[in-house]
Amino acid sequence: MGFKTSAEIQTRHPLRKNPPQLTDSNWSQTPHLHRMETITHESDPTEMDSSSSSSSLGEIGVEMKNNNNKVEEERPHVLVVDDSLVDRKIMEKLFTNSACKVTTADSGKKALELLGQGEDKHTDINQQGPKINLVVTDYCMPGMTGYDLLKKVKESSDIKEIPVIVVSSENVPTRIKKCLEEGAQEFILKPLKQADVKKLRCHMQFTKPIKGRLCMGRYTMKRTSDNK
Amino acid sequence: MAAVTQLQRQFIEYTTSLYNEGYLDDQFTQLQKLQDESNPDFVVEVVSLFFEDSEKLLNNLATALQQKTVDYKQVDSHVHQFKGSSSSIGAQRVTNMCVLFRNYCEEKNLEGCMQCLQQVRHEYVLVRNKLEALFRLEQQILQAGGSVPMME
Repeated sequence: MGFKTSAEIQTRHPLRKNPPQLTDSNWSQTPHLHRMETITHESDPTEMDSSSSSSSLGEIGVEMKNNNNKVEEERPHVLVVDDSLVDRKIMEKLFTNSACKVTTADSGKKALELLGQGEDKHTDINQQGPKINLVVTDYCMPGMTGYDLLKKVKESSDIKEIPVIVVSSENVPTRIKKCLEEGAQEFILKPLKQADVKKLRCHMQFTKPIKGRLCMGRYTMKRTSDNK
Repeated sequence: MAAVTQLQRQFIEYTTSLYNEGYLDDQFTQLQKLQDESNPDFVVEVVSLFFEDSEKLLNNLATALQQKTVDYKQVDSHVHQFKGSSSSIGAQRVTNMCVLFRNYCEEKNLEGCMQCLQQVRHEYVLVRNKLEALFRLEQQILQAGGSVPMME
């Protein structure tokens, strides 16, 4: 590990001095658009709404309409399940940096609700909004473990096709075998790196984009004759 | 701009020492690489979550070990969590201490556990102070109009 010399010192926070200008040519690389799509679902009811991300959505709505909607609709939707807040935050960033939409859940129970397998149909984002293309779950969780969640997903006729990745801080061969046999796509050791996430993109299932759909009830994605 | 250069040099030296002395490992670098213009405070935010989490865990551990009949499964569960979160941010010495701690839990060794609690708390406080100092240095550089050196 080394540092660049003072002559070549690069900044880690270029924005603090020179904010980038959003133009049509660079919007697709603008990371904040990915970030705005993060929705957090946690047991604490006060955190249930994602209004914190709505402030800049107007801005996004305008840009999305003017640009290629196809990119937005094809962005994979990942459900991250982990009881650790630190890990949820890190995984969320790993996936949004890889151009994914992320929803987080702090328990297997919550995850199942979000996948439409719970009692409360209102939290089923699989029905209301863009479908989940990938589930990434921690193995060790209180109550329902990642393995239990994996089993439930694979046993359900609605959602068994969704690939499930199990992550764990412990390298236990019997555990790994058990998960793979139960249908986990992969078992990855924590902590995850950006390289791991890039490789996972091949596992994500894409569902057909739907016309004129309200995306999370905030703005309408309209297809024009220009877009394919 | 001599002040900025000096601060930057200080920052580089300090960071290098943290890695050399094992307080931080590569995972911390990975976190810094994740940070970008869309979320320029990402590292500070994650580390703050870690601090909050850790204080809770340390309290829970102290309580669990003070019970008349110690539930070692419960103690181990807290240590496992602590090991996980410290590993996720690259606080290597804390993680290593947690590994030791778990061994004592498995042996149901109360004295060993109590000692480990002291040591893990000590390591946590050390790394917390060092990270806070690092973030302060970053702020000083930015306020002086400079940019924070990037690690390779």
